[in-house]
Amino acid sequence: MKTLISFLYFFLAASGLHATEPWARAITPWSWSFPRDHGSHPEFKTEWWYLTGNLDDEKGNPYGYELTFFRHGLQPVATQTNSGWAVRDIFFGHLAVTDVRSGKFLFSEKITRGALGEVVISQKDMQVQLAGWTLQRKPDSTLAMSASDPTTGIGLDLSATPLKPLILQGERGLSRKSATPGNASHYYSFTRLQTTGQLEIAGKKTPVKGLSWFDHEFSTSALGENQEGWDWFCLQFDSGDELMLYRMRNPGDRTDPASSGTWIPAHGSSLPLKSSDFTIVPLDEWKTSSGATYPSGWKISVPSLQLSGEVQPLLLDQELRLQRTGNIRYWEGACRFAGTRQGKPLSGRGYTELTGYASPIGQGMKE
Amino acid sequence: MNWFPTLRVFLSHGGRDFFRHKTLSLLNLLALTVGVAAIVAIQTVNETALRSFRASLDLVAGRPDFTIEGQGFRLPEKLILLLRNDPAVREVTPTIQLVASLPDHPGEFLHLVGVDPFSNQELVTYHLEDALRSPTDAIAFVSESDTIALTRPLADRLHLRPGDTLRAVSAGHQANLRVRFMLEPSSDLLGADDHLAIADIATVQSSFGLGGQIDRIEALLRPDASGKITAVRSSLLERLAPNLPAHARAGSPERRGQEVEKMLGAFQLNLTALSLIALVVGMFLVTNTVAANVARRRAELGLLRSLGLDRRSVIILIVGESLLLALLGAGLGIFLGLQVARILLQSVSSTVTSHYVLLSMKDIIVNPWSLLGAGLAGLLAAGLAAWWPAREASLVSPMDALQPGNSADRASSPQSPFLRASLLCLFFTLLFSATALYARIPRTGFLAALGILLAAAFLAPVFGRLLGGLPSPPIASGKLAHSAFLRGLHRHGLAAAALSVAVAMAIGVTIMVHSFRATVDQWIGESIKADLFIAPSTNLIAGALEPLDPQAETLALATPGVRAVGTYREIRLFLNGTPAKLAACRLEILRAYNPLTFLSTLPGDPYELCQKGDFAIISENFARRRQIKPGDTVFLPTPTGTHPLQVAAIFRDYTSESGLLLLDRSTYRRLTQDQGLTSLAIHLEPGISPKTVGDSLREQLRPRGEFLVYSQAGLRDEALRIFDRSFAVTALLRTLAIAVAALGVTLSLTALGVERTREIGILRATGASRNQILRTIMIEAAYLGATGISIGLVTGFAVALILMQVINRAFFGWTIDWHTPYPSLLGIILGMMIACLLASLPPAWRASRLSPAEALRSE
Repeated sequence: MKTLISFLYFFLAASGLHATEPWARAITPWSWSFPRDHGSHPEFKTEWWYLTGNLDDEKGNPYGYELTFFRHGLQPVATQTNSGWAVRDIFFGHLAVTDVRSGKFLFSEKITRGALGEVVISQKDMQVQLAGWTLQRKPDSTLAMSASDPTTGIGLDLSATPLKPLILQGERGLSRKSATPGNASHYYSFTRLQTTGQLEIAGKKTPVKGLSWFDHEFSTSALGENQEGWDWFCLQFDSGDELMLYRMRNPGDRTDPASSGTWIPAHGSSLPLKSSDFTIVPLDEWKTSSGATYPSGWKISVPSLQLSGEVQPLLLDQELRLQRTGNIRYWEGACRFAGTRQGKPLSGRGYTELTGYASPIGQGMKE
Repeated sequence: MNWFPTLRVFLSHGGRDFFRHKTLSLLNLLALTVGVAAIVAIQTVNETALRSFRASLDLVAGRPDFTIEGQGFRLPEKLILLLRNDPAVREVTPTIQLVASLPDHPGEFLHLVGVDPFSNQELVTYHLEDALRSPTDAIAFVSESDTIALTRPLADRLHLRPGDTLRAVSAGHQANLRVRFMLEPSSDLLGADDHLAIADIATVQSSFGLGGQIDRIEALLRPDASGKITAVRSSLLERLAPNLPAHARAGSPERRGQEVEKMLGAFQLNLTALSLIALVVGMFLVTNTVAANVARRRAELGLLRSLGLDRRSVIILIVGESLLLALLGAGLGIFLGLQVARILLQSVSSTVTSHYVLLSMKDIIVNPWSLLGAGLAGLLAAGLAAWWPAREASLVSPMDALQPGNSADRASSPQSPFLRASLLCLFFTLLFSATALYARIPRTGFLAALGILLAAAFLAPVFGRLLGGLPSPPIASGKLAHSAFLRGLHRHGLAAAALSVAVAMAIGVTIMVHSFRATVDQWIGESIKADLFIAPSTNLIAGALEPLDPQAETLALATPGVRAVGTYREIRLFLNGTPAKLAACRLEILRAYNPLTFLSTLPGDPYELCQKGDFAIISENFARRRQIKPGDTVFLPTPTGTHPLQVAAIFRDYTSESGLLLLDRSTYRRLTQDQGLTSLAIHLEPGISPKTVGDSLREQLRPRGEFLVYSQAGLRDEALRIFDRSFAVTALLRTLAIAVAALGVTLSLTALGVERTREIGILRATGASRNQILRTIMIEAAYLGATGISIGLVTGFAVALILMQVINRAFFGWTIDWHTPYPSLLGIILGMMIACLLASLPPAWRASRLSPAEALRSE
């Protein structure tokens, strides 16, 4: 009898069926309301505020940065009572800086239960504080961010002002990741933010300016059970246009039909792209010291926009190797684009994110 | 120097000699083995205790750069914010710990530690083995309110498997904990307490009603430009100091370990000193044997010398032989010592837990370096012991040595050097006693004890001659034995010395332990007046760490037949860097039912003073060790600040080695905000049976956990049981020393028997019967025994005096009333005498069996 009970327990625990559906799911488009929706949505399990950008110092040397704040809900209501350490969510912060000229890629991470005020995230506006790292939307809509890690000697202190209004990704912000309803996220972006401030590398502070990209996404079960990861691109062209594409990877490196993208022209409204509207072909590979292989360099074509060209990383190694978050690895790096649109040369810079190549993607993203 | 020929001589002669005189050599071997074994056993137990403690501490706290911990009381968790925002701090993590009893597993307990797995990643020294191997498990550790990790040995003992639940009780809170992980200490944490269990800090706080509280904060610091953290740590300490609660202790984490090591130091020194005595006794024996060997082989050595062996080579030859034997003895001693250590472990573990810190040792931790050290000590002892006779042998000219005849016995050596040495030792005894008592260097007390033992040893030959001066027994064998004893004093002197050291130690320790026990027993009779006592059962095995359910007092008061309930709260803390116990009682109950024995008081009634204001009563040893008298002020750091307490009285108490500071409960609660209880003392209406009330209370308390309910007699027995256990090791070492000394008698007589083969042959040839020979040697043994025992007896009283009035006072400060255990002393005397006679039997038997013809055959 005891054996049976423990077997049942095992089954229930592993499958997560012991809980009645406690989290909201992204099934229909969200009824957006800002600035409220810049804030936290604790009814969803996973949420992130994601900033990446390509910056230059006064001499024109290129840099890249990533600053991300994650919230991952463990349970809708903490089961421990009368404890300031009771856990509802766990929080992660990732900070990475790419110094192209010196070939340095440095990163840092935070992981915390947010107890005793270590994490404060507003539900009214974009006000995120995570163990000393902050992201705040100022009254003038500028995003002010600050983060540093004295141990690795990196840090940033930047203001990013949107040059364009936010855009809702997918279908009015409902961004599908697989065919199953509910495997989707609510997702909006600021695709072009004028950014100034300073980067700190090896303890040395450098004034920089350039462009940033901001994503805010919340979901409960974004990924399908079999999906292995994704390749995500955001490109900011010198022409004033932007392109976002992502390819959800099914087993055998097949592109999930739910993959999609968005074209944001310099002027006028944005255009959603279906997976059939674009192709992403890897050109080369990069092997990590741990033996994992990432694609490196892609040929991207969007025939409907008469756009094609190559995306190349500014540095081969822009892999985040996160020890504290259970040895998670992903590649998030600054890239450049060179190609043509409607026959004319087109160039730009952007960021690429590659997940699921060196470590399985988070279980929390599936349920 | 060409070593090779010496080596060859050494191997051929030494080896041959060993096999020719097996008995002698084996006894010699045995003496060394026992000496080395004693050292190895004690060292191993001591080191196991220290390493277990350190490993447990490391497991709980990791290896931080900086620690804050609450002294006696917990810390507010908000304190962590001070460190979180400090630029010098790289990482900071809280821990909370408690001892919980397990009602479904009587006799077992959990040392539960609550951690934050997010912030302690760089500090942890264990890993949680993923029991269900599912990703949700890691989440379960922090999100489920009942998940814990157990060590595998404990889980096995309790027959728990992942997924099983475990009922745990602490301070009236009961929690059903679910075992989901196995706690695997990192491999260098050998010996960590297997009662340790890990859970999320929120789980521990919420399961046991400890919201807002933590025990420790551990931090990692950022090194400064030079890569060091010392300066960073001291500046951090300066910044924090104004904001820390009075009872918080902050700084380097090594300090805590060092304090505990210091605390255990006295206890361990005690054992080490005793083990060294075993080696010293062993050394006497080696000297004795080697000297006997040398004497017997005079002719052989003379031959070697005349053949060209130089003096130095003679020394090398003899010392080398002894070392070779010692090598074997050391090896055997190490093996035997480790076995003895295993036997002692449990007793030492319990003693340390009931007197100092929670310690649970399951198996010995062997340190190869200490084994090597003990082995080398054995070799050194053997080398030193052999050197003196070797040197003597090398000085004899080949001519003298080759002369046949009186090879064995020689004219007695002058006695004045021995007497002088003895007096010198006595002088040092007094000197070191004085430094221990007045210069406050407690460790010199052991030197004083060593001094008196050596004084006795040097006195042995002198006293032997004195004894020889008495008229001999009026029978033939008596006369023969008398003269043989006098002639054999050069050899017997050493055996008598060894014997006297062993007897002195045995008698000294016996008197001390007996006096101590009688004093404590009497004190228990005076101070344990209540009819029933209640405490959490874990306190028996884990020290007074788990608080009692506060409801127990209410329940007891409501039980029919109960007249009054006294409460007791005990906290272990450090005052001015030395350990002490802080206790709180309802003094009005004590006064009415169980008055304390005051040694001195302030004018006025100490009970009233303590109930009215910030006054305290201190124990005698607290007063002695800290040199405090009534009217003086003691500063008590508490969560509400440091409070000056005026000492109202000094009372006699034997419950705490480190000293007791006793407050009235109202004062204690006002100053500390601690409402906890450690135990209850229940006074019954006249004519009410303690057993009936005890059973009824036990029944009422059963759902609240596991409790011990003692009757008055039961508590007395328990207290004496703890006392006896604390001295178990001492008793064992005493036995060991006596065994070694008895061995010495056999050795001495065997050696003499061999030396006197010719003489015995002549006696036999001139008509002495076998029985006469037997009797002669046994009477000689009696002379030897009487010498050693008489000196040992007198010295034993001096040793007891030093143990009680010097070592005890310097280290512990207790008053021990002298009680002479006449029957035990008589037992030791008779036992030693019988041991001497028995020890003389094998050599006497052998000598009496010699055929005159064989004995007279020239070698």
